[in-house]
Amino acid sequence: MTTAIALTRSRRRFSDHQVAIALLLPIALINVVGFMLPIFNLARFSFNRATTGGGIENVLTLENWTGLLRDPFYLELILNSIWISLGVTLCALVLSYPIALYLHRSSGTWRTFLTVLVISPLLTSAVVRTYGWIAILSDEGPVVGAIKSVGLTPPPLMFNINGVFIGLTEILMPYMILALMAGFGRLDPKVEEAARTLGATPWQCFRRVILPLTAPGIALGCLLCFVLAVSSFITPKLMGGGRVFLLATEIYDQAIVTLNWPLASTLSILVLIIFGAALVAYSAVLKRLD
Amino acid sequence: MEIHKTSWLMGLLVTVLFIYLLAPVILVFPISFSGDEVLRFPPTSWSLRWYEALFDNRDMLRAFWTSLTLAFVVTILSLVIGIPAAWVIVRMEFKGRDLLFNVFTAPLLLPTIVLGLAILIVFASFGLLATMRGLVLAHLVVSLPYALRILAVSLATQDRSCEEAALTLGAKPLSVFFRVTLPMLSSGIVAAAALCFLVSFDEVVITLFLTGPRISTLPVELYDYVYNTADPMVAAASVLLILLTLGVILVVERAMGLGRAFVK
Amino acid sequence: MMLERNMTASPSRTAKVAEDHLVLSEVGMTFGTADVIPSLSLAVRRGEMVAFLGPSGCGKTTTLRMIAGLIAPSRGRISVGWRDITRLPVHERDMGLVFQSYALFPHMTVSQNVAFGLEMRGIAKREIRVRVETALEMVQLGHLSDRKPRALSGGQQQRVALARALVVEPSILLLDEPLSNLDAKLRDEMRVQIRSLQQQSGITAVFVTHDQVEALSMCDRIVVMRGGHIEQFGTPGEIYEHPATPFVASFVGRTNRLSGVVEPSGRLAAAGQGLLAEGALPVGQVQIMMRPHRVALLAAHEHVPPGHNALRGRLTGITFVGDLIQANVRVGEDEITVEQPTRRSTALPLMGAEVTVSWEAGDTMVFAGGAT
Repeated sequence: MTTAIALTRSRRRFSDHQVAIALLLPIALINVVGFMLPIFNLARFSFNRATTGGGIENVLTLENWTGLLRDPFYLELILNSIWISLGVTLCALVLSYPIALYLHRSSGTWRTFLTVLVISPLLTSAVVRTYGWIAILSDEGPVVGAIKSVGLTPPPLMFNINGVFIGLTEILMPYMILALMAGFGRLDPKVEEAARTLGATPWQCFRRVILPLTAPGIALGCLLCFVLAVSSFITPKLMGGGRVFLLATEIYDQAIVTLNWPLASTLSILVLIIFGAALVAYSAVLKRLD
Repeated sequence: MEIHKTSWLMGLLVTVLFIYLLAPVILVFPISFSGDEVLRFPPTSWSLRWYEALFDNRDMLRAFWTSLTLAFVVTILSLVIGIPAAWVIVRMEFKGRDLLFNVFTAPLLLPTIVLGLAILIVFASFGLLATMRGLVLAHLVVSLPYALRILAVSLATQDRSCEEAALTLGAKPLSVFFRVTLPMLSSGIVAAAALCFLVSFDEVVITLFLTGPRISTLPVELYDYVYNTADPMVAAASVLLILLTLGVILVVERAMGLGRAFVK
Repeated sequence: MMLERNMTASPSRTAKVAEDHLVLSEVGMTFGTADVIPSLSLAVRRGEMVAFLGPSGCGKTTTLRMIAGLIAPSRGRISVGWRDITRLPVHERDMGLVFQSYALFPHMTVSQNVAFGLEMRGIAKREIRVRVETALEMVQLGHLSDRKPRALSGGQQQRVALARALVVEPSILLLDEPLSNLDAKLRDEMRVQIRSLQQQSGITAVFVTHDQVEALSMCDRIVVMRGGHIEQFGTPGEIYEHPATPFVASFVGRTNRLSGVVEPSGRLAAAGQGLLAEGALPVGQVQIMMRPHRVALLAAHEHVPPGHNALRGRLTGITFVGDLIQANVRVGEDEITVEQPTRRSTALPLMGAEVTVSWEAGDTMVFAGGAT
């Protein structure tokens, strides 16, 4: 069917098959060494036993998993991570929806400009953006200053869950906006016009027409934000001040500070399981929307 | 079109939301010119002292050069490895192409914290920790999928008949590739290069697992610095990073339009 | 192979004016489980332009791409001037292919586009410059040689594509629906230009099209294809006047279709009325066809000249189309369309009136088998 097939007829020293393998070899090698082998290893480690001093005993055991489920600290940490991620996702959705709708309705250079504004934070280092939030929410920052200036006592914003929540929501918003905009593709302005000419109020129009049509985009955005929130590390680590314990920060501490690689691996696999569950929920939602 | 006219209320709401979205990025600009000893907004005085402090900080400078070299090497390798791979996957017909593509782009689906730990464990046994080779390899794991995806899309949307025309005009398959396919792919290559560069230059979580006192990248160095002392010097570094990012974005926008490059 | 070489060398064959140049022998193409082209054999003579005509999906483009070498046939043999090229890679085939989408290299200027094939043949720079210039003059584009393709109009791009294919002096010129992306006026111009370029250079050409007007007006011979088969291979006159199958009759030009019967006695009848036809007739159910503009509309009892067929029917519709009047006449179960040039004095019969339709016996086409 294609030229590639016809090329085999060429009198060449190597067959197409050999050429293809040769060209794919480097990427395959990197994939195996940098991705497949490490993930396989990770899964294996979660069934190994950690010994004191960072050693690993190569035995097959469920200790890490049962220990995790028995320890109230970890149970709370897991539930905390999930709840915070859900909350951040919801906030990001509520705050992103108007922006996405506005972008969808704007056009031309203005739209391009706004899209660049939405995407640029995405391409800015998470460290930089988190630092920006530290500057905003710190005791000497503008928010605390503004609250004080009207004579109120500001709530604690830094080095606790409040700051993490505010920062993380903002950091994940661009993903939500992009996902929503991708889903808005099928929102034809004529449909809204039709609804309005049929006598729908703006609110009815939104509730009965716009929202159902944009639901797949919402689902996608929520999936994306949730998995990114569950695995977020930089923001909770820097803004939590060592007082906010979430899955990702715990993985890092176990791996680097405590040197308990089996436990870190177990927590990592747990994150992947939560990812899988989110994906299943997402597919179920999509199915119902159809 | 009357009903689509956004009300001033909607306009105000979107403005406030945009301020929230951009606040942390914008705020670092005035803070970087702060004359204060500590992080404070608004600053009580203005100066360039934090830029001076940044350029006097040997660790930061060293990390910056490491990051730049690393990003450069990773970008080149991503293209050199990614272009032939994309070509094979898009242009050759064999069973399991889609599967292969999914496997090669799968690292993007994994959270970096998990990937970082997984790579740490394997690299530790290979002696790749805190080495340039190790960092290059680790960054390739995440930059290659981006390169592959952009290049594959560009290749798939390319008009095949140009290649066929070249063949019928007597060009050998290799000449077709270099004289027709590659030049027609140029905008995709620019976009892939820009994205790979940014991905590598900004990568922090995976890198955090692999760096040490011997070798460190700028984002990791900044992370460590913020973790210990959040003074305005980081703002100065942030400003420079943001400007660099903006420059790269402009390159991509010119080459192919942002939407196509980044909307997944 | 030996035999063929001997035949090439034999004086009797070389002396022939119309030597076979491009030969397809039992060529077949299978995609997956589908036989796109079961088996195809044909011979194109040196210097002639042959059209592959047929509806989309008839296999004409697939055949062209097999000739060009862009796809390999599943079976059979393709040869050019008695040289077997079935297994020859595309870039060694020496064919000029003009694509439907033109396929100009967007990153090269017009002259770079045209020079490409010459460069691939390792021709000296100076000669390339001269030949590119000549080729561009030939298509009247000398003044645009430094433009990029996207700065050209559709017709100009088409001409660049033509110059690019012709400049290498290929053994065979292949044209894949080259006019379908042009507007009607430009298409007429390019039809004339392509044909005159082909005749000037005396190159053997294959022209793939779904447009019967292009095929009839431009080509020496036409291959009418359907479902991977050749329905008929002949000159435009033969195809139009003596279609081999009902499909050819209805695909090339327009036709009326009547169901009729040939009695064992040899009498042809439709709707119970006897008809005349030339040539041998197949006994049994038949389809009777005739071109609308060869049929005349007469008043019910008007005199029918000898050697003409006449059928009585009822006028069911009449449309004034400016140059023409189109009338629909119901004859038994069938409907006949009549087209007549208009005159100022033309008096139109009334709807529902009894009328007679009439045509020359020689214009009657009869095919075995009932209506499909």
